[in-house]
Amino acid sequence: MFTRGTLIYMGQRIVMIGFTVLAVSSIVFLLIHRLPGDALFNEKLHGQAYKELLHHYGLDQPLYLQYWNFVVGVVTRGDLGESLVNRGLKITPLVLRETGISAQVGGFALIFTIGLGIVLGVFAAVRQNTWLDYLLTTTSVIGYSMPNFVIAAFLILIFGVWLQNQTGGTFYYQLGGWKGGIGQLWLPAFALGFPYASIVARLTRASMLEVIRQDYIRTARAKGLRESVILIRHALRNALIPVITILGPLVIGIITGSVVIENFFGIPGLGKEFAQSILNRDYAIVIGVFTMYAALVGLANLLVDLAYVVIDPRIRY
Amino acid sequence: MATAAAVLAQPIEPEQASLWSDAWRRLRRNRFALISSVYLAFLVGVALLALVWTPYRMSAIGLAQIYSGPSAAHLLGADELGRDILSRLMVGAQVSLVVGVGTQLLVLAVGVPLGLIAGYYKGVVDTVLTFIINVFYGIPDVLLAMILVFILGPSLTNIIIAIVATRWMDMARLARGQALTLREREFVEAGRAAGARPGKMLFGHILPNALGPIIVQATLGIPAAILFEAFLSFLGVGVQPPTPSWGSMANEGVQAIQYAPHMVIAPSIALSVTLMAFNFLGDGLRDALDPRSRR
Amino acid sequence: MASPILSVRNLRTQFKTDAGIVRAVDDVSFDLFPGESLGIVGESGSGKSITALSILRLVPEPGKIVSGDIRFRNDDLMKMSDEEIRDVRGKDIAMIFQDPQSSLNPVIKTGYQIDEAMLAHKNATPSQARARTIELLKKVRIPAPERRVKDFPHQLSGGMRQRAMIAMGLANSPSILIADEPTTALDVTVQAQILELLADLNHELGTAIIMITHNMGVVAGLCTRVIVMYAGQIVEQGPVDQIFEQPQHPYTWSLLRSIPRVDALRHERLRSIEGIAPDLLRPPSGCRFHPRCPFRIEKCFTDEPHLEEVKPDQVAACWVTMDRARAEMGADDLVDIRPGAGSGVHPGEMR
Repeated sequence: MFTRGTLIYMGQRIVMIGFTVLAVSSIVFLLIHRLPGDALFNEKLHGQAYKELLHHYGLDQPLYLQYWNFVVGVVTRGDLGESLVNRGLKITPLVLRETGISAQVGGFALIFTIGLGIVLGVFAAVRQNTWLDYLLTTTSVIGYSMPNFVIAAFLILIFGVWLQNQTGGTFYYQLGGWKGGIGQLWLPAFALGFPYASIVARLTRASMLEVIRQDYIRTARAKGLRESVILIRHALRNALIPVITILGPLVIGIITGSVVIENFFGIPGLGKEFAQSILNRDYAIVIGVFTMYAALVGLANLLVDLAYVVIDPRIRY
Repeated sequence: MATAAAVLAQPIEPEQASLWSDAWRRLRRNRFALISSVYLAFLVGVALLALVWTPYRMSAIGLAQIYSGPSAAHLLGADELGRDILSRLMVGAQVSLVVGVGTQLLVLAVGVPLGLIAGYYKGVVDTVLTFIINVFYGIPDVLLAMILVFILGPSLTNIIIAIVATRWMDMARLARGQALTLREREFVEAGRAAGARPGKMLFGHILPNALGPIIVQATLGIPAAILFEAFLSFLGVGVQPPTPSWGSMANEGVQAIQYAPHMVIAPSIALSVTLMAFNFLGDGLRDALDPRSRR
Repeated sequence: MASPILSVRNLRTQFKTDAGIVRAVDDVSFDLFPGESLGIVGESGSGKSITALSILRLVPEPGKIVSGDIRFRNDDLMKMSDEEIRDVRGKDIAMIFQDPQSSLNPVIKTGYQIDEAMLAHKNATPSQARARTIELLKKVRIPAPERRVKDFPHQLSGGMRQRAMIAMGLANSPSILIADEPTTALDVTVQAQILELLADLNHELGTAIIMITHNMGVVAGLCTRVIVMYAGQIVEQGPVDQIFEQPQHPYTWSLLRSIPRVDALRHERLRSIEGIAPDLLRPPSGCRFHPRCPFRIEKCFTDEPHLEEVKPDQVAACWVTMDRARAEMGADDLVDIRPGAGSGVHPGEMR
């Protein structure tokens, strides 16, 4: 499966991702690094104290030098700098910890999305044109036409009381404390993933309908296999190939959707940090978060390409 | 007496079945697409109406009615400042439509020419464009848009620009793909052999043939843009108060969800129905223009 | 004479479409004897494939077997439950199909697809199944079978894929192997090899073969008996040698006549059968072949003929029969074979 060609391809892609992340990071850096009104400025220090502050952050150096230091720091030490608001708070560990939290929510949403979507899609295909099929199809269109925060809002309406118990009084996790268990995860993950589950369901259904009509399914029946075995072992693997195609945009959608959901529920992840840092004018963190996101997106795309290789043996790089 | 010659002299006029008339017929038979079109026409009507009249002024504060539910005076209730939700919804329709259509027009203007040129000429131009597209794809769209709006300032125009900056690549990639495929077709060779200038080739020959998927993409891009704007408003970088956008209205509604659920329901339904309508229409267009469609 | 291993009686399979009911198989009956190789011949749309699919109840929607019984060794396949018929499929009666490229699952290794045939019927453990698969691949003459089992179908050539399909069909030593146009999608030289393989297997293993084809040459090479189908019905049946030498039904005669011959004179035109395939929604009245038959008489337009014995062991459904056409209408010397040309009845009209 992992031929030499595939490994070389992976290597090339990782290098490309590295360059892209660097490019993205640079663009953001140059754009907002010294935007007026940053956190330091807002501290309203003057004279010597202000100068010392600037020196501490290396902000008194010419731009190209700052940029160079930044790049060197990121590439060699993985050091994204220091928060402008919280003196001494190193950005890299902060960002990594928050990525872990976001990954939990996002990961759960992803598994839920794909799992539920595929199952429903298969059901709708097998029971084509029955009421179940129509119900699922209509629900799926509604599903991806609603913004995830609207879905979240309706979930709160339905599960509000339960949610308050979980979060200690409000539906806002940040105040009530984030423990990260399934109990806390499932509601935001559901809101995050539901639109995508709908898309996956539609696609799976269409794909299954096509696959079931293929000759090799007829051969499988002629061999005397049971319908359930045919469905799962023969049909599904082929039907999932188009689904993998959208996996890339889907994961990216979940990553960006999580920004909204985290802010909605107050989950202390990367998205919340991003919004908060912009509010606080802590540009150093903004740059750090952005860089992290770019890396995540690149990684997601790479994993999707690898998923192709696993599922379809005809594809080899 | 009708001679053979006389019969042959009369030209036979078969019904011209071009791709577009075929597509139009198929589209008309798609009930969802039809209903969606009717709804969208209605929506445009409402938006235009809001230019000259709304039940209340959208920014008219009424402290007596804050958080009040639907009533005879306020058909959809009032928000946290006592403003009439129905009126704000109508004005919000303008925002959504302007954002939706505006972004797509700009995306068409930017993405299509770039994509066509890259796909047709290939070579260095193509490599450069592909690299730029990949860099843009590497940036999460919400973040890029937030930063752009933050830097440029939250006006409607800037929001449109920010959204376009995150979405133009899809159109460019599509146009490029179309150009790459179409340039190998015989009619392109024929055109070149006849000495047509590249500009005419691109826009006179390739573009008309690529138009189908491009239009579908643009139509489906409208609800995506509206959704995006709702996200941005929700995060606080959308249109500024007092201008209402369905997204910011939903945001305000969510804050008050426990005691005034009607505030979030109205814009949510408006958003969802409008997005659904555009999606159905786009789907219908895609099916109608697909030459392999069985009907 | 031994009793038949398969008995089909009055099989009717129909498709319900928006335009009406298509009678794909209309009252078909025949027997298959152990170890025999039977050919079913006909043009596209004659119902030969659907007949085969009906035997294993594999007819796709919107098709349905409307009536008839099919007995396999005294069990009526039509009356079996889903589980029972699944037991028969691939074990007692196996079927292989026309295009091995599309008939094999592209994402599953070839070896496993053959193992599966045995595992599905709990006939072997996984290691036993794999051993037998390699044995089978050797038997169907695929070189280096130990490596081939790990290949995916797209890594094999067309001929190898079809051999693998045959191996899959033989995995459980079925009594009957139904082959639906197994050589049509292959090169001519490969076709010959596959047919030779099937003939050898038939002799060695004693597996009865039902060979479905539109190609009379294939039948001549492989089969001992042949059934000729037209418009969903059997029009002639009998031993291959006899039918080739003395076909009694005008359709069979036309089919044989239309095979181009190497020793034909250069200027002789290719002989085709006039007219187009019949519409199975509204089949022609009377004898379904009458719109295209050079030897039709008035009766053919109105009365449907039934299969009657025309020679020892040979039946045909025709009011005229070729014996009479040769004797009275000069069939052998006929140059113009348009409908009705031989008999002079409504010549040239294709109703």
